[in-house]
Amino acid sequence: MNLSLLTPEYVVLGTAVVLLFLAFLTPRRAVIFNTFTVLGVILAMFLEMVSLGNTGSLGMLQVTPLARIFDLMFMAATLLVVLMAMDYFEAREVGGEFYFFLLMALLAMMVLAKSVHLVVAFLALELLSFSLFVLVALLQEENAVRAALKFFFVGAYSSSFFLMGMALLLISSGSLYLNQFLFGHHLALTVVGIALLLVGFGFKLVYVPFHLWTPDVFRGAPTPVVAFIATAPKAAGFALLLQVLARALVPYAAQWMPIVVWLAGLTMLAGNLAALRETNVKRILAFSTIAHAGYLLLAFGVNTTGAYQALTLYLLAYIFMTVGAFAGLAYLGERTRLDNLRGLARRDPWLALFLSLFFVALAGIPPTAGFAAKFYLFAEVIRAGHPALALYAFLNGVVSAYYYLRVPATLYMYEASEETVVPVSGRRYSLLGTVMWIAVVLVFYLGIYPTTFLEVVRQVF
Amino acid sequence: MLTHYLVLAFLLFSIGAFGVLTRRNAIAILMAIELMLNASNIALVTFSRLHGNLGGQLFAFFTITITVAEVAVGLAIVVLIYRLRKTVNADEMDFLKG
Repeated sequence: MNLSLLTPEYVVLGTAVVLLFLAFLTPRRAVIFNTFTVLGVILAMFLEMVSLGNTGSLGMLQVTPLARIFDLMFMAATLLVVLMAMDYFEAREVGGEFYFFLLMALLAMMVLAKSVHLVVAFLALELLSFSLFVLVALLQEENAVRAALKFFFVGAYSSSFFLMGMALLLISSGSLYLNQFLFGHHLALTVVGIALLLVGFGFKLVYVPFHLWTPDVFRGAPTPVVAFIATAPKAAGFALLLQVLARALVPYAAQWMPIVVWLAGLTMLAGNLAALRETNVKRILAFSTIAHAGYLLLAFGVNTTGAYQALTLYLLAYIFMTVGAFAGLAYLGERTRLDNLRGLARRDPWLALFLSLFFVALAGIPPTAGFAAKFYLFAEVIRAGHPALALYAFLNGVVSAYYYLRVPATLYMYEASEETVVPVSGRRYSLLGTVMWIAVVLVFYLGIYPTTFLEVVRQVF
Repeated sequence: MLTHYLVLAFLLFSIGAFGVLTRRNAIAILMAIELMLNASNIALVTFSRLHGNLGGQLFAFFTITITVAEVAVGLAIVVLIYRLRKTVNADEMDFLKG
């Protein structure tokens, strides 16, 4: 048993534990915690990249190159959120606990992407959920706590469905290992088990009809935490769905594929239509998350290797676009209504430019990552023999352009009023600017050279 | 034999799932979620019994531990809500638009 396979995990865990002690010793030194976390995550990323080819099985965990690529995605998202948090929380009382829980969530996701054993998968899932509940509530402000209460109940409720589904699949398959499922008897139990699992996934990955909690939680939680919840855990959820549906439950593909196609179609429609009527940018982004979950589910609806490769590219693009958009919103504090953005381009041209770029990317307009991701995914859907489905998804994308492009329009085409926020300028917000620069460069890089990443993914699938 | 255990588990699970949707008191919702998790525990132990695999009982122990942690986090959030709003009504978590 080669325990060195998990070196990045050890680094993340070690950083988290040392951080907790540091938080006791020097309670209010945000700079120290932040720098330490950034260094720890960068070291873990470096080790992950070095050991990309170092793979193998550890029994309950299986370290594959794909899992390592997912790890890098989680770590990139975490790194950007940590940088974002530094500026956002500067004026508020947030101690080392914030970074500790962030790192615990990261560790949980890394384990989740590798687990092939139901107990480990469930433990990692719960570690992830609990860390996220605490992160939402940590500020102890009224809106954040209300969001945390909703998030907690939805999370706990969905975990119960998840566990029941797992238990039923256990009874029908006879193995705790996802890769050793033996089917044949108890067809009814298997189907009910898959259905309960899909309900559990529905709450976590926000697809119809379990998506309605997202806007409230996004609206109430602190912006960096929302940026985290909207990106990395979604990628982890899809990594787990890949393990469960596309690996363990492949014998039942004929049963779950049509369900997933319907779920995907309804999810993108529901997310896009609801977003048209929203006036708060954070809530618009919540519905955008739902719509993107719909596009991502398409890959499972067609269930081909090519579609899963496109899914990986889409997840990466989605992470950078969404984190970037939230970094822009973090400048505005709690005032994120469209009225607050009116005519902002005259007061802060750089911020307006960056925000517009991210929303243009989310709308899927070339040459951004949003376009490349949608292009490859829809192309794979057509290749799998479902042109009508691809057309339907494309039309959904056209609808979504209306509410995405409303944000740049509001920024540029109005005069500033007294509602418009006055952004804090100067060096104080240099880290937020850095996050937006990194995100914008990656969004355009992935948009112009998507094949460099796709080549890597194609080698490991 | 198997059906008896499973019917019990399903009944408990449904009572819990229904309770979460109908109760308005945050503590009552927490109790209903506990019921659902315990229904899963029965199903897990059924698996052990049926396949002679102790993994199911082990899983049940882990679930019990996780449940305790879940209640700890949940009650902490409920206490925070109580401090801010002087109520533990779950309607507190719904936002107005905008």
